[in-house]
Amino acid sequence: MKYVLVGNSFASIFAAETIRKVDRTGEILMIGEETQRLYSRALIHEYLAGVVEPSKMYLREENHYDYLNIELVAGKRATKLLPDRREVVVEDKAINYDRLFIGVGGSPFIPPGMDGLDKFPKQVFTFFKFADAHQLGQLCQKCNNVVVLGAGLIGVQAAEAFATIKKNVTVIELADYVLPMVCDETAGGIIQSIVEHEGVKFCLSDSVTELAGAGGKLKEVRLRSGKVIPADLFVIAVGVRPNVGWLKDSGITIDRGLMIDQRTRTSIENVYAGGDCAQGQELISGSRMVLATIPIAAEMGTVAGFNMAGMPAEYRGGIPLNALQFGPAQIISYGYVKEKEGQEVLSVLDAKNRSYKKLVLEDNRLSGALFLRAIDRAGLFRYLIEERIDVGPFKQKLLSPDFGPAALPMAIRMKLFGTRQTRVRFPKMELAHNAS
Amino acid sequence: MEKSPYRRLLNEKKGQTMKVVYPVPNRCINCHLCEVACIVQHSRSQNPISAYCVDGLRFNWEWARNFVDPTDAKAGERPMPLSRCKVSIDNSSFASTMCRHCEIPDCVLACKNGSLYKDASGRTMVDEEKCVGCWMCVMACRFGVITRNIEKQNVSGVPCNGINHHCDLCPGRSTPACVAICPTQALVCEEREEIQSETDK
Repeated sequence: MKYVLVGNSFASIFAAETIRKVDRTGEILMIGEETQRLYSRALIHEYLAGVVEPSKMYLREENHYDYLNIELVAGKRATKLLPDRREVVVEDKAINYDRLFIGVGGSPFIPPGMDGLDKFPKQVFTFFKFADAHQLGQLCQKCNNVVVLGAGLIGVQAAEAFATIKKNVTVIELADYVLPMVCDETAGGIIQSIVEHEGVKFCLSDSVTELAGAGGKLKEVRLRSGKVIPADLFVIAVGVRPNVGWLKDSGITIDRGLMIDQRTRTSIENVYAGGDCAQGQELISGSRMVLATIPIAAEMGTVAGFNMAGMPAEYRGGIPLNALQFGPAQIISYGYVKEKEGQEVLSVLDAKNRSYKKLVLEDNRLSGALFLRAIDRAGLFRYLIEERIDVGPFKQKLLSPDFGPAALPMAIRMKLFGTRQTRVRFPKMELAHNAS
Repeated sequence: MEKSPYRRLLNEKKGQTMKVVYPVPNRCINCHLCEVACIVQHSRSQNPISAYCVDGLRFNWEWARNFVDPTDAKAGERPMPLSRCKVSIDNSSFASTMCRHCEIPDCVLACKNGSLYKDASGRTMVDEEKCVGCWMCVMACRFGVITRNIEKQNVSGVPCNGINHHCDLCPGRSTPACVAICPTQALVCEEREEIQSETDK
């Protein structure tokens, strides 16, 4: 059996490890775009800020691939999938597979409508890879003014890192509060004031119309509101799109990402997908969407690994979720924290300690939960949201500082703590050949 | 090598059970001795007086961090050992809960830099030197049993950072300290079959 995994990050590494768990002899080949040793993209802002040593950014030991007997093709990009011939083309070489995993992740989205973007290639960056952070860190030694486009999590984290290394940084965001995907206005306001205190400036409800400079050198950024902001570096952080362009001709079903079913199979036989490029079940709305976070990528990868190696496993779906740290404040966010009409909101705001908890309910079922600072043991809410549990009987206890397993009905408590169960399900109907 | 999650993944057969701590319903009397035993077990002195003694009568249970300045030189042992289990209270219902050491742990899947791992005996452990306190594990754990240990910091210059803190099943002991001390046997350490309830499917 030959397993080929395209991509070399969270989804793929968990898939490879899981395959190796089930199938000890099969050939595993991973194709990674980057030559860098396997690292965490989620920590590059801390690397730029200089608060985390590179040694802490590496996901696995150096000899990990050798130990698992995985062949790694680094620095090459898959360009084509030929499902009829069971081949994936990597640059100009075709590689044969028996099972293929696609975990190519996403790439930064460059919004249209900005003039002069291509005039200053040496000063316009995205903030996505280790190399970006490294390069920006070196360029920063010589310049002072940084403009970050986008106050999403990558944007604010990058801005905070620039502020830590004493740069004059401005963030431009289209929405009227920061972290619009993760926060509501209240939490966004608190985070904004914390990050502003660290030296970051914000221009909200605004966008960039033009990048201007002279002699091939970027000097300033012009905004829709008419403001002009001096800029030596321009960092685009408005989001990530699935890297699925290279699969367009293969006949695979693509919506925003690769559509996958409960077993993480794509529409093509023997081709599995996971991570930021896959579009799997979302449990609150019941539709399929791209959920680009690490736990989801790793879970999809694990499930794909089992399935590819012949041990049926089910990915039960996920919810949008994220955990972030800004200065002294931590945020954990689940689901959709911005209420819509007809939804019930429970919240506690402690303005003095700047702690905040908010729950969004619909028909007594949680559809969003947000925790600022008071994050210990927040994970129970992930369970309550994902399992669509009727919280009516204990609704008034949810926001109490003592809320814990004891406040749950005994049936739920026993389900959680009475057995040692896992989220990944192994359907019993078909026992695979090599599962022991 | 020991630190890699794959070692565990390779060693374990699907469905193999391991001993973890389970709460027994309706037994807990809210005495918090499990927390006491946990703190003492994970202290350097192994002595409740110095593990606990924080300038007189203040104790270092999790909530006590609200009252005690951890940098206070008069406070007891440093770094302050913190409890890894927690008695949760709701009117007259109590339950002490701690890490499940899941077979496929959400926290290991969520860990941003691979500092959480399964060790050879199946425990979910954290590399205390590597954890950067990103709180993905706190977010991911569906049992809500992961807390922050603000006594340890691996990221410089961030005031409220800390590292992952959860049950380690008392390495070196045959029975975890919380189970051994529990006066009502509200905690048991045993192997149980993994049960998939019908409603889950």
